[in-house]
Amino acid sequence: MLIDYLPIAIYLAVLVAFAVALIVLSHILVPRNAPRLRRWDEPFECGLRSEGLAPGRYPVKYYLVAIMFVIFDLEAVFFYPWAVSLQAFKDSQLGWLWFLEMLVFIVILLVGYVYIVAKGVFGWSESD
Amino acid sequence: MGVSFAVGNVLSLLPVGVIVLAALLLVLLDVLWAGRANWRLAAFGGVAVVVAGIAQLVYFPRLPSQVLGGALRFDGFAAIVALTVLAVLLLTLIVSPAHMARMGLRGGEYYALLFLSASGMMLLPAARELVSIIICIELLSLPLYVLAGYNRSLAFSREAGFKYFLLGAFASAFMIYGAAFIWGTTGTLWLGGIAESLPSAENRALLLLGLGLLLVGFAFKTALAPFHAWVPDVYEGSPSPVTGFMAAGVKVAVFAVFLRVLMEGLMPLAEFWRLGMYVLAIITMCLGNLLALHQMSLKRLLAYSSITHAGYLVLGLIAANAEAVSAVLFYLIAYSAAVVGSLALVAAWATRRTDDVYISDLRGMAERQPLAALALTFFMLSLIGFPITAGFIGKVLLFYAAYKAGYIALLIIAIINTMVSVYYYLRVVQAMYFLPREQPEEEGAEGAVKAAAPVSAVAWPYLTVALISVITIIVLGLVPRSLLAWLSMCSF
Repeated sequence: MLIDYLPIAIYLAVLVAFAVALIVLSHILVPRNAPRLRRWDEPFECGLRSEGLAPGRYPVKYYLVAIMFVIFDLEAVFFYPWAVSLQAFKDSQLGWLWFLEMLVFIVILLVGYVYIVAKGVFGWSESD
Repeated sequence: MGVSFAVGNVLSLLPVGVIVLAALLLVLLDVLWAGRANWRLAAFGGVAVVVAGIAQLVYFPRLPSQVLGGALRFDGFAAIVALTVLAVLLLTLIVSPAHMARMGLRGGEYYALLFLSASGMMLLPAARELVSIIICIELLSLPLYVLAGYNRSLAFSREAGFKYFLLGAFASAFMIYGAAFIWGTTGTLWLGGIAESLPSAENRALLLLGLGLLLVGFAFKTALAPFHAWVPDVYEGSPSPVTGFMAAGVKVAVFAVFLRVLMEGLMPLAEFWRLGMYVLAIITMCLGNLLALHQMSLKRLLAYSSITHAGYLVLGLIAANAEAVSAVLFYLIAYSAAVVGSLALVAAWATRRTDDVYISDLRGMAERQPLAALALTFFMLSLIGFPITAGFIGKVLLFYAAYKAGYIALLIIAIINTMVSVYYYLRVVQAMYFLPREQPEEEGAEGAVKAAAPVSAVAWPYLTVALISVITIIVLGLVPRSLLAWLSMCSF
């Protein structure tokens, strides 16, 4: 009974070992000649000297694109159960209903896509 | 492997379909007109609402019809709630463009979000199964979180959006957890199935835990004390037309489904939830009234009054008899008319800095704008439950339902609370009719700043909405039979 959970235990052990290994390795391999910070209260920027001020504004385009990817990816996941259960619906003469359901879903998705394109979410440079 | 699934009469879905389609078209029209077509978007939305309303009247379900495997059942009850939501949406659309222009708000997403929220409100009373109910509540709430924070330049509005989002998510978590426990103990999510298998359910403790969590979730959504703390801040911070839409629409839809869940699904557990609701009703009525007594802001006053009215409505839920169904609906419709009308006037008088009206701003309003002052007086009287207004009939019906169910002590507490509420509603009327306008030169520096924000004349969209609401209130107050004849069709 408990032996059934052995793969999960191995997986967990590998996971923890990997995380620990990364920390240890980065500690061993870190270059020791990183520039010294001028003052103790400055933020540590991965061994680089900090430049500029933190409250400055910078474009976060990649963030929006990443969000869009997550949204559309999750919505695409919805297609799989639909496709898998299509045959069952066809067998019971409900193929058209099932087709229409997906059509409604895709139209709503399309409206969202047109909206974000028109709002310039995918425009990378400022001029777009 | 086959699927047995009764599609049912899809035409019952037509009104909701029109609203969802309109929401999608509004999104497209917004980008087409580059977000600078407030009035045109509102006009398009208005036409869509009228079409949906006509569709709802033409396909008024005289006999209940099941749709999509029974997950939705459209009957007279659902149809009347849907018509009320459509009316509230139409009134909100009339005031919105003018208010957005005055507040300097941009972006047509506002209208699409209103429509999406309304579609959730219309589907909610028809839902017959816990998952559908929870999805409809999310559909109703998610657009409202955005709308509450729509006036991004105001810190109050940002706070409202964030607070509503956090507490709304919290409430949903309670509700879903409760539904999961009920599913775990009864093995079904259908309201009818739950009612059947409740008496033979084995694990009583888990079942009651589920019931309690579900009640807490609903209490959050319907703003019952002690789960009411978000209401004043959210109502105050949201753009005024949104507050009206929220106060009226959410209350109508969520109370309708609450009644349905209790009466159809959980009747075998009535002794437990009646006890819980009894306590909630008393706390809600008393706390709402006491906190409303000293509010200076009209929007906060209306928020606490909304909490109190939720407390009165719980009387109908506890009674849970045939009278209660039509009484709760009548009360909700009367309340919606009064609250949408008064928030239209708040929107008309609001300053860009606060999007709110203080009672001191109303001083001498009767001389400056007699018509609007008279309208606000009618709304306050209806909220009190003064005779010849719809609020009176609503209270009589509701209290009669509670009396018939034998809750005399609760009834007495409700009546005492009604009398207490007269004080703060009439304070608004007193400020408008009996107090002189503040003179800036007498008040010193602070008074001068206050009076510097001029109370502008009420523009026609606000006045139209106010007059429609006043007419509704008086007609329902004088000839309640006109609505009651319809409501009698929707017992379930």
